[in-house]
Amino acid sequence: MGELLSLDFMRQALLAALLVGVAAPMVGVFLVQRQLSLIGDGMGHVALAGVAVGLLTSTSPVITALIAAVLAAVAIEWIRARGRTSGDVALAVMFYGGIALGVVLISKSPSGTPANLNGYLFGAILTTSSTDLMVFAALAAVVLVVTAVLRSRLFAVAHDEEYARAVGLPVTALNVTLAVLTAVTVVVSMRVIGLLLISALMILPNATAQLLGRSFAAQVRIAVLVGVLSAVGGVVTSYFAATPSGGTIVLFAIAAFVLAALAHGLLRRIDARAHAAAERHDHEHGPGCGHEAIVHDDHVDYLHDGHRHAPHQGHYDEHADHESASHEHTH
Amino acid sequence: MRIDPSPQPGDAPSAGTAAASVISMTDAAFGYDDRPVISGVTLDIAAGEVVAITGPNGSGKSTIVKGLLGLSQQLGGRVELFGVDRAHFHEHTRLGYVPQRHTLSHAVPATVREVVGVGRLPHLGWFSRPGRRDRQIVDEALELVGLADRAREDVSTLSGGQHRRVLIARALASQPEVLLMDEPTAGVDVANQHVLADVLGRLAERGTTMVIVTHEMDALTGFLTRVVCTRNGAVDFDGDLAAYAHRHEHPGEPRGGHHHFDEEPPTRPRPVPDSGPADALRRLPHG
Repeated sequence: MGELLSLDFMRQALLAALLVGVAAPMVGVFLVQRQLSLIGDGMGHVALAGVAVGLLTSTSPVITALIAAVLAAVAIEWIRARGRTSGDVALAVMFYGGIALGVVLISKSPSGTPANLNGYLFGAILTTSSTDLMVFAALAAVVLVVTAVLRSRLFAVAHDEEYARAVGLPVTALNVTLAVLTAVTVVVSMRVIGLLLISALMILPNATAQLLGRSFAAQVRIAVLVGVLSAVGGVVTSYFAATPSGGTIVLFAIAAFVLAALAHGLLRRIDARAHAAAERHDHEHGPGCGHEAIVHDDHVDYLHDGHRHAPHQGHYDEHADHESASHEHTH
Repeated sequence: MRIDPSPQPGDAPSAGTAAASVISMTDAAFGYDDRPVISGVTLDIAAGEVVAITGPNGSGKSTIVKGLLGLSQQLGGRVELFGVDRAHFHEHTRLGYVPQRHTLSHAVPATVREVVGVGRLPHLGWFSRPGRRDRQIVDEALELVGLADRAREDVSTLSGGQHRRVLIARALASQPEVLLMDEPTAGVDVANQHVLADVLGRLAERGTTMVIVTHEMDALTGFLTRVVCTRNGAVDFDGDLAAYAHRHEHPGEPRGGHHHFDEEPPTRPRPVPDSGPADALRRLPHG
């Protein structure tokens, strides 16, 4: 009986981990792109004050945390949009104020045990009520749908805000939406990963993907894969090893990052050996540049003084000499 | 939204340049934080013109272009885009903006095609995905700037000049009727400047209206039809290339007043209004 219950519960926990594993990197990619990686961390601090208010007034801590985080999101975006240097200090006051208020208020609440506080700060999915899990699942689904619909616009704004404004995209509304999506993700993840660690699941899978991806689409795919594997792997491990779920998940994400970094370094070495850089020249190869273009597998080589030059990142690689090496080309 | 690119003769109540006027500024002032950077700008730019705005750093040349786009504040005067007051102008895609390169985020990889695809966004509904026609337009824009062979590469691996061409392609993908460019050749090496000038020359040949903010006119003289100089927050020259050259040779002579393009024989055949590259894209079938 107990076995079954816990199995049933485990199923819910895994579903929550799966949703968080998808949602956090999907929202996080835009934060990384806008170089606001630590914003989620700040929202987590403020959300703790919300949790405390909930515990103190015996209302649902999820609802109060959500309200606090969304208010913080709007305030952050407002401060950021004003672009004042004092904004940085304003954010610090808000973030530390949030966590300090949270700790003090929780100590005064009837259910404010240190274990309870730890559960919110570092995640304790195995002690979360199934009603809360249902709420988290619903919120995570909303985050996923909204992010998916807005994806190309969020990309445009994060990539080049000035251009987005010039073509008439609703830049301010999109920025506020991203901040609110971040806030909701923080709250959704607080029982799985914890308010102090949630930013890690938004950022680390994207850091891993940055090493491996060569397009935005690939970046998102890899980050979501790493996020899901870390979240699900972390929850399963924390169940068997009796460790806190949040820390376990984040350690998984860090392991993925380290592996990717090692693989990346290795690939670059192999790459450097396989590539011979062509001599530097002041000419830019391209269609109609005057040099014969030769299709070579997935790219185009340009015949330059009998050598085949293949564009590679910022320079040209020397590819196998063409048979007609006598064919002299000058420019 | 599809807009007929060629103003029909007799469409507008007033004859002459007014009918074809793409950008019209009368005593306009632009700036930031309520402080004007440039003022007293009176310029009429007609379809098919290729105008260079040049001048020393801080003279306000970029501020004019940003003002047209709503990126800097308009602090006085009248500004009309396609005959509509700028404050009420909402057909943003009719203006194609090519910003300076340093505004872009390289924190996350993005391919050339993904960046150029952003140009299609203003034409897409909130719930629709780019279709075959959008992809075709992106392909043509890449072809036009000579980057079709680089479409799948990460933009952060490209050189400065190639990057600038990506941004031109992005602007073209939104099928604009005029291109506004901010320092397209700045920080670009000589080899790439030639490629870039070729691309702009090709666009000029097709009749694209262009306003190019630039330091380096030398690369562009082949296709410019008009030069506007700014100095100390005001326009102090407006004329064609010959008048500009004359002014350089005879700096002592009184400064040229406002010069109207239509008083001079055009230096190149006046292009047919709807033969721009964007128009070629616009003619693509609906997919």
